[in-house]
Amino acid sequence: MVRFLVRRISLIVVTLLVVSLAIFLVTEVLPGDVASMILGQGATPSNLAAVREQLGLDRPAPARYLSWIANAAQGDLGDSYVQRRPIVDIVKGRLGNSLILAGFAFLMAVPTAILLGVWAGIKRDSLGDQVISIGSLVAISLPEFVTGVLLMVVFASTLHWLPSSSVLLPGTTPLDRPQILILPALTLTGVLLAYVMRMTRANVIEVMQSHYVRTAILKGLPMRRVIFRHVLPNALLPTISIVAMNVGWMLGGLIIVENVFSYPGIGRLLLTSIQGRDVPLLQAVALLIAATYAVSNLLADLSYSILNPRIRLS
Amino acid sequence: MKYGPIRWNAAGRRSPLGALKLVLMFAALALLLAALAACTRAAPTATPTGDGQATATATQTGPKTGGSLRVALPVNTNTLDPALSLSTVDIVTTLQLYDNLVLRQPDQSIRPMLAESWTYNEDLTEWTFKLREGVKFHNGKVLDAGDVVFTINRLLDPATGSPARTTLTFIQEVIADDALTVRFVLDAPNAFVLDALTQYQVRILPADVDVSRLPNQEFGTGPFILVEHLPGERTIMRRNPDYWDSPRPYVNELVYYYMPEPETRVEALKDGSVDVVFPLEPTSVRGLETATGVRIGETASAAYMNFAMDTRVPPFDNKLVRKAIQYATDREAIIQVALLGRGSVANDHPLPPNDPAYWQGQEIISYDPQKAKELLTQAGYPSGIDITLHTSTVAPGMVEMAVAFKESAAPSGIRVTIVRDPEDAFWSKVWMVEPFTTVTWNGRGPDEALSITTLCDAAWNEAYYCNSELDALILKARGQADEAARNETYADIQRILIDEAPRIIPAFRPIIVGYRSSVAGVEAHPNNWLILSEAWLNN
Amino acid sequence: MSDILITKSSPPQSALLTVWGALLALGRGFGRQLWMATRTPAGRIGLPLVALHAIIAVFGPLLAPYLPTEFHLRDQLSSPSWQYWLGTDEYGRDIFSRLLSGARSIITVAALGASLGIALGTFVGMSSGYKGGRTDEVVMRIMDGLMSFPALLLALLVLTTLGSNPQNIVLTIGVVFTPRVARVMRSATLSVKTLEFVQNARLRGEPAAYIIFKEILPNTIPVLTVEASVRLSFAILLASSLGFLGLGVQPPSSDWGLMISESRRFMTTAPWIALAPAAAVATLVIGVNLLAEGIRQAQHLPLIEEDISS
Repeated sequence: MVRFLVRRISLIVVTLLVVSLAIFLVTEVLPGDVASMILGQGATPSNLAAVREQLGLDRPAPARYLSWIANAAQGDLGDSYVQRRPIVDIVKGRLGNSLILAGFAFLMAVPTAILLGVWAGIKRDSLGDQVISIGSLVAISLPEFVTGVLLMVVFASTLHWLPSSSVLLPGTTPLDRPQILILPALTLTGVLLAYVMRMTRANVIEVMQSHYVRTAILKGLPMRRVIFRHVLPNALLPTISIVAMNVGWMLGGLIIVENVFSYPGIGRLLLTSIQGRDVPLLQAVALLIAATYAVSNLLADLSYSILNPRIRLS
Repeated sequence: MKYGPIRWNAAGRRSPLGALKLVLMFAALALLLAALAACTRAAPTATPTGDGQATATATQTGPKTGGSLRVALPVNTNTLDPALSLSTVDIVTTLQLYDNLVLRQPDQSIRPMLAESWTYNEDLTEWTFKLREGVKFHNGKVLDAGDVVFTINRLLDPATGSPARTTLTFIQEVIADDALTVRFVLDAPNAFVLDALTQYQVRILPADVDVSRLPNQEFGTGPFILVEHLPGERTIMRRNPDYWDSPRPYVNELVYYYMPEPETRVEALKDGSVDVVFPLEPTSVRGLETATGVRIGETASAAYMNFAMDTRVPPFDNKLVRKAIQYATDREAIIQVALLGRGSVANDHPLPPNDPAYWQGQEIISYDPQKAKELLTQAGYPSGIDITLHTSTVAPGMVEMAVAFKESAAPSGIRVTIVRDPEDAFWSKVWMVEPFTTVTWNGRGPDEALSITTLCDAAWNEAYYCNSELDALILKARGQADEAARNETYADIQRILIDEAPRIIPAFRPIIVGYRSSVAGVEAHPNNWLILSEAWLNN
Repeated sequence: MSDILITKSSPPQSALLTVWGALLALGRGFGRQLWMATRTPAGRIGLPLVALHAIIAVFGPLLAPYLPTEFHLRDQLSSPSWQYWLGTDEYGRDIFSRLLSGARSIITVAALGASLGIALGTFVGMSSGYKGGRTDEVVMRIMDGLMSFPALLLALLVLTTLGSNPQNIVLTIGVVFTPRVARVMRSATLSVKTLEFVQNARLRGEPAAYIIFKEILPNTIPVLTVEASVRLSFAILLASSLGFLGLGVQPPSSDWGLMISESRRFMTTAPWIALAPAAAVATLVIGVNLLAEGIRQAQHLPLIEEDISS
């Protein structure tokens, strides 16, 4: 177990190093010039040179990579070019906002998905199951920006119940204005719910066909007892790791949803840093997303191995 | 009238000239000496009596004190150093923290601020300003003439790198005559000194300031004091209790929130999260018109949108081609598409119709594809021309203007290919580099607008067009004291610009601000400023 | 797998003919899979939906009542009417016409991107799986490295670097999909590799390219078909998402994602601008996904859930 952990964690460190190098290289060759972006219409060549020097852009790339990664390891991500203040300060609040949104979506989606999935699995091929299956397929097919825009048209433009754009005054958290969370969270929920539900349904069906469940049924146990004692514990185990795996997926969904609703989270920050050619901010945000993705994948693997004794840790 | 019984510059938008005109009449009537007259006419605005009356009026109409005014602004590059201000956010931040010697009001009149009054010699080569007494900087220093000398010299120093330097080079020397008197010695007669001093870079700094701290801190005399400044997030300012223009400011606290998306700013105004949205894009107005509790302030301005052509390269070196493009431009369509109908037609020069110097005799160039086609044939392009128009989303409406132009020019045989360049490199690598680009300009007075774009050696001569006759006329107008005569000169300038068409200027943009109905004392400002010392909350 | 095609050994041919033959077999295999899919309920709904979109992609511009870029300045932001079936946008452009002309760009870009990803992924996955050993180890590590980026983040970074144009979007989709396809095709190869007829071919001393194309590839067709249909749907999602984020096809093109993104400014006053392209993207992806589901059902494959992060 310890060896397994050490191996996986060192693999993550190596992966992150590779990822950081890739991010650095990619952002290094970004077209466009941050100095002229900062100075705007009135910039003169000498202004531009001064800004480049001030930002350290005149140093060679390998030196900049090494100092970047060394500082990042110590929690110092540098200063944003555009906002001219420490990236850690900028990212902290945004990350918190994203976590709140993701957490909210998880809370809405996962219990519902499990309930629906178990029900559909037990009532396999019934009308309800078919409706749920087709519905979930449709939900998986809808891109987040389509779902988001549709929800916006209905609840914001037509019914005027909820805001279409997330107004979050700096210095406050989304929990102070929970109404801005509802539409983005619902949008994120769509795909997540469908996905977890489909997996739960498949697991339930698989377990229902297993020998021990058949034995239990043939033994004449009441159906309720079979389901709660035999089916659910076995079917829900893999669901837990699926949920963990979805943390990584959610990051992609967050990027889109936050941009649909102008929600001030990490995904919105990624896009603004791309548009503003704010290279240090872009590097930091990309690294953060990649790291979260790697760690959540590790957690998914770990939970799967721990919960499923049939898989040996090696 | 807020500043006393006599409206200071009832004579017109360029107050010294208006005053001068009066002066000349007075002189003709042999009533007073010109300088003395100007001095006495200026004085009442700033006497304690004037302030007392302002207070009395204020209580009658009822500005309430207190409260927190929340303003939504776009995210923008940010420096608090007034000399280096570039973006709207920079400008409207330092506007609350610092004071100029004089300030242009939304109605275009010029109001005395740190300068209480001024006089000038007969040939307009020496201007003397009397400073307000007892004004305190936020750092405790008391304002004196040395601060003005320091500020102007800093702006004139090329090492400072201020864009305002080229507009102030007419100042040969700034001299502190005594503690509260400062004298500007000019290189030539200039009637536009006050205009130059209203520029947003010319905010007065204390002479003892450590300039390295200017980008992130403030050292002003302004109505508000900086409390917290987080660029990209928010800025908090509190009321300056010692402000010289008591009882202003009326609100206790001023909070700027930076919101990058126009949709979010509009939403915030609708749900009451903020009190003011500045600036408001024309596309956002539609969604607000039906909203309750929201008002929209709009003012015409001299801000314009245009196409820059490099007149050194074919086909733009051919005047007939430029004339053809003039007639092939559907100005109405551009206003409709780029500004959703909110704007006014421009006639290829930067003077808006509401400017006193606007030449009333001009005929607006009509959209006439047939005529454009004929002109192209005359120019030697019977089968039309292919041109590439560079544009970018860097300013709102530019891409739309390009698309509208492409459509309107097509019937004349002008085939336009639109290239959308990235925002970051547009001003440095596309504008004034590519031969045909879209541009937007802020509103400026005629002298400044022409000087920075049309003089042969102007830094922003985007047309690369040089006409010594025009140069002579622009300099002549600058030194002309008589408004009627000067407007004649400006009429000549407009005639030449329309005829030669070095630039195609199809539209003036309006300045739009959104407020909650509870906000009073804030007006849309043609210069795209937001003066908040007069603002109060009515709830 | 129910329908393993046993390919008899053939006289040595030129490599080109081998590839051509393999492609023909691939085509026949795909056709067969599609035909089988139409006999499932999901396929019966999915195929017509996809076909409808394909027809619009080909003939759409001919059916459009107006030019997609034509302005109607007196009819800006007008709601749906007989004159403009789906209303107009802020330029007074007919949304119906724009929708019809936008189908082609999204379908072309997505299909080309998915094909590129599948071709690269199949090549990498099959050769790596066939070779095995150290090469396999190294190649799959690199693929894992690429997969440690969430797909959208990788696409955004690549596209920001390369610049936004249709070719680069195709390339980006290809790059993002390669490792995911490679992983699937590698395991398919590993399972076919051990079968008797492959061993026979090896013993006969056939060249590796021959074995991969003529012996292994035809036998992975069911897997490949499912993979291709799933990739196509992800490619449409990715391409339209990139368009929505402003990193896809640039204005004034009538890309659906871009149309939705531009419509947000008018969400309160003219929601129809958003609805039409949203419905178009949705029906296209639903169609492709239903078809994929049909193919899967027809093969009686268990529900292989895709790596959803793709």
